[in-house]
This record gives sequence, C-alpha cells and structure tokens, in this order.
Amino acid sequence: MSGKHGKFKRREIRDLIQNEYGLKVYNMHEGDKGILTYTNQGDKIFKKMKKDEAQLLFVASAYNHIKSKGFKNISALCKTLEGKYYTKYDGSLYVLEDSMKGKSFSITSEEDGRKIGEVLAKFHTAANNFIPATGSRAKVDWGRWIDKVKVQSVRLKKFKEIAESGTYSTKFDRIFLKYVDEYIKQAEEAYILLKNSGYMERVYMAMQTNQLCHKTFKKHSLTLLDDGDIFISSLENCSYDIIETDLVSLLESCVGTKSLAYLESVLQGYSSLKPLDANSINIIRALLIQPGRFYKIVNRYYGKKKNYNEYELLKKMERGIRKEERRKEIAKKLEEVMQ
Amino acid sequence: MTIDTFVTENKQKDREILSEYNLDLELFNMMGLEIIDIVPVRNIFRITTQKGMFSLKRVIYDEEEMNFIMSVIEHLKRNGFENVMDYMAKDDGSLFYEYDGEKYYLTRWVDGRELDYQNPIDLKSATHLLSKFHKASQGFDMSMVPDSRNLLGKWPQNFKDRILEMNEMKFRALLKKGRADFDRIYLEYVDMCLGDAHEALEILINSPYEELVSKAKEDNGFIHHDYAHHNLIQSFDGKLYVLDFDYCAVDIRIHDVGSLIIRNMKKTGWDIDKALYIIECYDRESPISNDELKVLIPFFLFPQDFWQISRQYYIEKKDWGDRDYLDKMNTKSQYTISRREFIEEFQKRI
Repeated sequence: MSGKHGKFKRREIRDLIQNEYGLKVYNMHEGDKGILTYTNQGDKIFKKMKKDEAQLLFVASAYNHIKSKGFKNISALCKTLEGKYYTKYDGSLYVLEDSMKGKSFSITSEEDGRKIGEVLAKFHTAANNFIPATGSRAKVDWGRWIDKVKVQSVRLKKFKEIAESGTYSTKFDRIFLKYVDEYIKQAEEAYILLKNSGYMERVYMAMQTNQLCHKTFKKHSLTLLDDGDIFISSLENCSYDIIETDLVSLLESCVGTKSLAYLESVLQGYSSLKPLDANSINIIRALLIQPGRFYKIVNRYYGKKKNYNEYELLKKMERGIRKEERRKEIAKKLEEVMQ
Repeated sequence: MTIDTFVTENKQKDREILSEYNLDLELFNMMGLEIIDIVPVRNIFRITTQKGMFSLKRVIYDEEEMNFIMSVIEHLKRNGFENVMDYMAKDDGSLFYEYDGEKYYLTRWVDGRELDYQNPIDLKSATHLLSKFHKASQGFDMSMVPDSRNLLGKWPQNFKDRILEMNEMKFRALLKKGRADFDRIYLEYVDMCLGDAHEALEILINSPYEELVSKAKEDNGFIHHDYAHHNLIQSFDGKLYVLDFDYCAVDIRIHDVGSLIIRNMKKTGWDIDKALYIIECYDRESPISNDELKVLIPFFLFPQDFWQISRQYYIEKKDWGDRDYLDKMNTKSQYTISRREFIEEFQKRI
C-alpha cells in the first residue's frame, strides 16, 4: 500500500485484523483517517494511535458510555478476541473503529445549522456523568484556559522584546512584529472575558457532573448519512471539559465565511435542547479570540530552541494568522448575535 | 537568546526506576497473585490480578528509611488523615516481599484522575489537602527519623554545600577541552546563579528561619517533599489521595508550600498572582505567618534547578544524552531571569 501506511503490506494488515478481531476482511483501501477496511461486520477504519493502553481504554469507555445513554449515531472501538480495544503492531498501538458510508458534513443551510446544533446538544447530554472503565487514564482539560491565555499574553510580550532586540530581523520576525500587538490585545481581552463570564463556575459545574467533551467536533468527525442523520466518530481526543469548547470546534470547522449567516441557527439548535446563556456565548467568544494557533507557532521559534525548518514555520505562521482572522470573524458574528 | 519557562516531564527517571523491577512470576507467586495484566504507570506498575488491581512498588531506600516512611503513613492515619492508599499487608502483618535481593510492596489501586495544577479548583483542593497533611503530621515520634531524613535547620549548610559544588563544576567546565553546548550554557549562567545563591544564603541567615526551625521542633511534624500533581489522585467518587511518600522528611512546612509554588511557576512563567493564590488557599485552612513568607524569599531565590541539572551532568554523569541535557539546561537557566522579577514583586506584595 502507498501513502503513510506504505510500510505495511496489504496481506499483513488483513491477516492481523482477521486473526486479532476474528473478522473476515473483504477489501481495504487507504483513506484520510486510516485504512478503510470492509469486513463481514461492516466498514471499519484501522488506525494508528499515539496513545497508551490506559488512554485508549478511556476513549473506548467514552464510546461505550455515550452509546449506552441512547446516542446511537456514534462510532465505537472494536474489541479483539482477547477482549482488548487495541492491537499491537511494530511497537505501535492500532485500533479498529466502526465507520459509516456517507458525505463529510458541512453547513449549507439554516436547517443544517440547527440540526448539527441539536446533535451536539444530544451528544453532550449523553456524554454527561461519564466515569471511565477501571484502569483508564482520564484526559482532563477542566479549568486550564485562564492560565493558558495569561501565559500567552505574558510570553508574547517577551517574544516581542526578543524580536525587537535582534541585530538583524528575519522575515519571520517582521511578520511576527506586524501582528503581535493585536494578538497580545486579544489574549488580554480573552482573559478578561473568561474572568467576567463565570468560566470557573462553568468548570466547577462540569466537574460536578463529570462532563465529557468530544474535543474535535469538526467536519472530519461528522459524516452525513444517506438517511440524513449525522454519524459521529474520531473520539480519540475526548476529554473532561466544558461544553463550550466543543461549540468552538464546531463553529470554527463548519461555519466558514460563506456559512457565517447560519451561525445563529447552530446556537438555536443547541439551545433548543440545552439552553446557552450570555456567559456561554462570551466564553465561546473568548476561546475564539485567544490567539492559540499563532502562539503555538511563535513559541516554537522564540520559546524553544528545538530544531525547526524556518521556511516551514513561516508558512505555518501565515496559515495560522489566516485561521486566527477567521476565528475573529466568527467571534464578531457571535457578538452581533448577542446584540 | 531564548526564553522558556516550561519544563517537559522527566520521564527518564521513571524509566530508570522501572527498569530495575524484577517482574518474575515467582515474585507474584509469593504474593499469591495470578497476574492478568501489568501496566507501567509513572514509576510503579499497575497489576491486574484475580484479587483486583494493585500498585506494585519497589523499595528504593534502606530499612531505617523504610520504617520511617511506614510510620509516617501510620501516623497520618492515626491522626485522622484518611487520604492515603491502603497498604496490602501479608498474613503476618509485614508489608514487604523480598525477591532477588529487592523489596516490593503493594497498595490497593485507586481509580481516578491525577490533579491538574493548571485548574484553579484542583490547585485549591491540593493546597487545602497539604495543610491538612501538615496538621496531621504533628506529634510524630522523632526517634523514628533517620538522620538523612531530618532537614530541620539544615538549609544554610545545604545552600553552602551547593554553592561549593557550583564553583567546582564551573572549574570543571572551564578546564574542559572542547566544550559542549551544555558547558557553554552553564558558563554563561553560572556566575549569575552563584550571585543569586550567595544572596539567597545571606537573606536566609538574616531571616526568621531559626525561629521557624525552633517552632517546628515543638510541633514535631514532617513534610511530603514531593507534592507533585501526579502524586494526588481524585477518585471518581470525589475522594482525594496523596501518593508516594518516598521523599518524606522532617522540615519546616513552608518547604512544601514553597515547592508547590515553584512547581506552578515553571508552567506559568512565574505568575505572582498564582503564587499568592496558593498562599491564600493554604492560609485559609492554616494561617501562614509573616516569618514563613519571609523564608520563602531565599527558598525561591536559590537556583535549585540550575544546581540540580548541572550536578546530574558534571557529578552524577547520568546517561541522558546531550539533547536531553541541553533542553533541560536551557529551560532551567532561563527561569533564573523570570524568577528574579518574580521575587522582586513577591517582596513588594508580602
């Protein structure tokens, strides 16, 4: 097989899946998410995971919990004949995840917006009160944003000093300096917004109810089925967090410049099942304007003396800036919706 | 010049510890356990057996220290501190299994999540629990304390010893032919760090440190000495547990509070508000005196991390590879600058 799984031989993968999972493999081909495998028990994705056994158990039990709460249109990790949720190959862990035929979801109408909003609200209801299987290593992101945005503003200021004090400036420095003041301002604004919007109260509530979130509730995790239902997959980054973080991912991924008009319908759809108040919207706004992408890239350049390719990092920064601008547009639209 | 106040976790140390376990079937037969699964978790092994899940830990200290640690845990429990794991005693009441010249013990596995110091709610819970721990530690039988575990009154001498070592390492670096990047960074920062170390020693000598030591001698308490987030587990029914008493020692309680603050500062670029938040949280449960706050200043100022990583490189000569050393050295030396600004602000605020 070619592509990123090229080092595997087709026969090896087929035998591995057949022997470990007891399935009959009819065909396989490489897809974006992994190796799409057609079996006697439906379509599966065979994919490599950069996680340990305990972390995978957390993900597997998250799928099981959500399904057990009546949320049907969600994927699951298959168990091996030995009862494990992974198989080992060449020193790495692989999982076999259920897959469904369909199109990648995108919002092209108000109805789409409402529908995906409702799906996310139902998902959050099912993902509440989650206690993982014994032996899991829980991924927890509760309450981290106050620190994160504070660190962003402090360190961006230091990076600015470094960029300005250099004897000669690179193209990276020049682009960085062009935008840095704006992003420092945004980080500070996000900090104030979080502080004033009851962020910690939301965290406290989520901790009380063991609220699980998808964390990559984006286009690539959403499949539009032939019957019009939306199938959710790729829960591997799920973690304990506040629900607003998933709404941020959804808006960022599915509400492009063309579908900005449908943003309100997403919120309406969600609110029809799980009401969102002004604080929630402000938290979403704060998470959209915090310059996380920009910070991550410039931190590699100024913050860590690791090996990097300056040209690639520059391209990444340019892409990062474009994404930050899009996020800002969504935040602006949210502000309009609130008014 | 780069700045980096962030630290990557030291997994190397855990790997070294785990590699010294002898996981022979005979050991588990001695324990009467049928092993279903063994998973490394930080520096212990989680074992799944027919009798449930346990943590398996190898004893890395001598018998005197071992008895001290066990008596510390017993003392805490007697004083109503229930936030420790249950140790699995053998039928004869003893705790240790000896195999191949090594000692091992088992504790009941508690399923839960590690606390996260980036979450202010978790940090508050951890700080409250620390004050509870210190209260419960009081009244300990000091005859059980090995010399190596008694740090009371030893700060000035420790500072002096470390200054000497830093000087010695400086000469080693200077005399070295074909200096590596690590040597160059060390030499770039060592004079500044020595300056800080001397200043810290002077402030300590002129601080109410000796009064705190006298008070601690009356209280007869001990400290945890490794109050890292991964040593605190919250079970899914909401109960908090403190793990790993391997580094327990007798010292003034502000040592633990100071270490907790420093741990948090590394990830937040020495955020003064966070330091004060920790102090406030602790103070609410158990008031912190002005004298204790004053002693924190030399504790923060002394370049402990810089000394430690240099020591591992020049004296202990740990086999970590140049890249690891360089990353660590870069990180540790950089917070010397941020830390100075922080201490100035801390002095003003207290």
